[in-house]
Amino acid sequence: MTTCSTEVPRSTLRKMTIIDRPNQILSEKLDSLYRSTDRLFLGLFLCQWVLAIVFAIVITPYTWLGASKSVHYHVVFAVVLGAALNSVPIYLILRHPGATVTRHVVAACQMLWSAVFVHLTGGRIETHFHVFGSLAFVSFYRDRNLLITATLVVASEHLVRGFTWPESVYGTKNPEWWRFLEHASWVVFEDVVLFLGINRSHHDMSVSAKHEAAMERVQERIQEEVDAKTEELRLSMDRSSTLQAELFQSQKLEAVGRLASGLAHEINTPIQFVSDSLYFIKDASTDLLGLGERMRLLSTELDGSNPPEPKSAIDEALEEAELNYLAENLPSAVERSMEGLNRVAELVRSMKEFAHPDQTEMAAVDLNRAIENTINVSKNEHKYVADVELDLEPSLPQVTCHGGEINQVLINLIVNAAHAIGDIVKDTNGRGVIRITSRVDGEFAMVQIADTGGGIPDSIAQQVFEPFFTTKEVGKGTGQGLAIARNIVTQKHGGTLSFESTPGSGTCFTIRIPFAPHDATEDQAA
Amino acid sequence: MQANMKASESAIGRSALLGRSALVLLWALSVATGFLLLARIETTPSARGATPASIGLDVRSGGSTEAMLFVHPKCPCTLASLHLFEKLATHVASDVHFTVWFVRPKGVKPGWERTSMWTAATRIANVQVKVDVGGERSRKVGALTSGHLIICNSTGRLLFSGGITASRGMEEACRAEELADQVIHGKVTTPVTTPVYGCVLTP
Repeated sequence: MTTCSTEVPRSTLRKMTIIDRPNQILSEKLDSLYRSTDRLFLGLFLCQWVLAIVFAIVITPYTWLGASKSVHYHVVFAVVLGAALNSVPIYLILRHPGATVTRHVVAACQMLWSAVFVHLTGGRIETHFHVFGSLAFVSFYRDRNLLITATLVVASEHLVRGFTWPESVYGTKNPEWWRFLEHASWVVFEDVVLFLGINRSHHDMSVSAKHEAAMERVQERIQEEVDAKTEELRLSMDRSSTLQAELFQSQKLEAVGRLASGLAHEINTPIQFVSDSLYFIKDASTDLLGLGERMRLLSTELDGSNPPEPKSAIDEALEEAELNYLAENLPSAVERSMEGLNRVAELVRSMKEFAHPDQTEMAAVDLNRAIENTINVSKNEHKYVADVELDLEPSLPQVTCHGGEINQVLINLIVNAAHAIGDIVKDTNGRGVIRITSRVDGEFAMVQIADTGGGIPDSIAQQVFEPFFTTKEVGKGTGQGLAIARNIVTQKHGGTLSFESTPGSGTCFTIRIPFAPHDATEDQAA
Repeated sequence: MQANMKASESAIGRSALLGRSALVLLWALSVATGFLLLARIETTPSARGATPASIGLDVRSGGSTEAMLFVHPKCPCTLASLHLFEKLATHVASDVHFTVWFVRPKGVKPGWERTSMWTAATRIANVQVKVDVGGERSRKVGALTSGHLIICNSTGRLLFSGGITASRGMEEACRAEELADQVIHGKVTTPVTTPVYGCVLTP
């Protein structure tokens, strides 16, 4: 790859652009004006052609030879000369609109149309006003040079006619030498007026172009600033998203950490009685094995020369093995062990599902099962202070959502409910109730978590969803739980999270999550 | 490579400019030719016959100076002559007798001559409007073209014979009309002859 050695620096290019832009805008405006005026003349030429033919037909339709007639030469000339006159200007207008040559030919053509009308109307003085009207029309181009062309055409036509046929111009064969100047002066007078008008118009257009260029520069700068700010915002949003994800994760870890000791206790209890039962089973198996050995020896002795008394020997062995006691307690010990192991397995499963790593994509989640898992893993938080009542809709359809995040919302609300009840019952032997309901609410799955705690005072009701707001004692909460819960429900799932509270009676949080997947990008775009 | 392309574009541009210039030149020439042809037709006088030096009483009324305009009732160019004739009639003493003769060719029905020009002529003060059936009178004075004006004095001596417009249908004041005016006012005594522009009165 080669680099151009004469490359113009970017800053120089920009400076050039700034300097040239008003001229460029002015050129564009003039070009547009030239083209639109070309189109105007296209229509005007066609109209004049039709008008000339109509004039000829109406004023001089026939030439007479006694009683016989033929078409008047005016009609023929109106058709043929009019067509010839229009042909090239119209061709140039269509093929080369806005070109300099087009404008000059158009200007010449328009002035010649004046001559045509003067001829067709028998040189009537009134028709000469067409010349002045035509000059005004030509000035629509805002091109001073065209006035020169138009005037030269008028003057030429006048001079030629004045020299060759003076009576048609001056009404006499021997006009005074200054008669031409008299005629020309009026045309020049109009030229001067139009020239001044065009100059003024040019000045206005130039000023307008400068303003427009200035506006463009301002717009460009604003756009650049907007782009820069947008980029900053995008980076900031990226950082924010990362921080939010980290915050979610840390909050989740906090919840898991808080639950860890409770879970250890929950697992330890069944493990303890499983262990005890296994010790009992171990002793029982030793006794049963001893009993078996005694039976084998007894059988050997019965085959010998001095066999013992069979019944007494068997009774003695059975008594020694405490078979009745074993028969009574061994099944229950096995059953307890199995129950304990099931409880451990259930806890492990619940924990596993609860701590299920979040997926990028949403997936169908059984909300009732998520509620049950969350209750299991948080049992140690609520079992000492409250009873949990479940009223779950069995036919609740699966919800397409981020399961791990919804678990986090549920655990936050359940633990908060347990803490709220705990604060009320801590000095009493009473217990509260955490009632969890799931329902279908239109296009939403609705979950309500109601507690019989102390409720939320009106004075802080507006703040409970604010980040870092907490009424809990130090070490019991970071103040992120509800803020994150609302963010997950509203921002990530397009749902709602609200609460109703009666101070002294309790609080009921209501989660609504749409069954259909929610497109988070729509929210961001909005 | 770029230089070649630029040179090629420049050549195309020059060629296009040359083509356009040629087209414009051709157009200017054809239009100029058209105008010249038009002017030639308009300024070419029509046919005229020999006008006798003395106009007989079979044509004129007698007793005073007479101005007789012979017109074709349907000639569009003659309206200009009629307007100029009206100007003459308006600016002259009452002892001049003005007549507009509407020539009705042979073979047409009476009333054929009653056109808008007839109506216009009848509205001119001090002007008599008459019909020259078959163009008998016009032929006698050599007026073969519409717009031919004959002026003679009370004795019938010819003072003016010809058109009073500068060209076909040209209504503006011209030398011919000026001369006719001078003849009527007695400022010119020698017979004046001018070209006539208009339709043929009778074949």
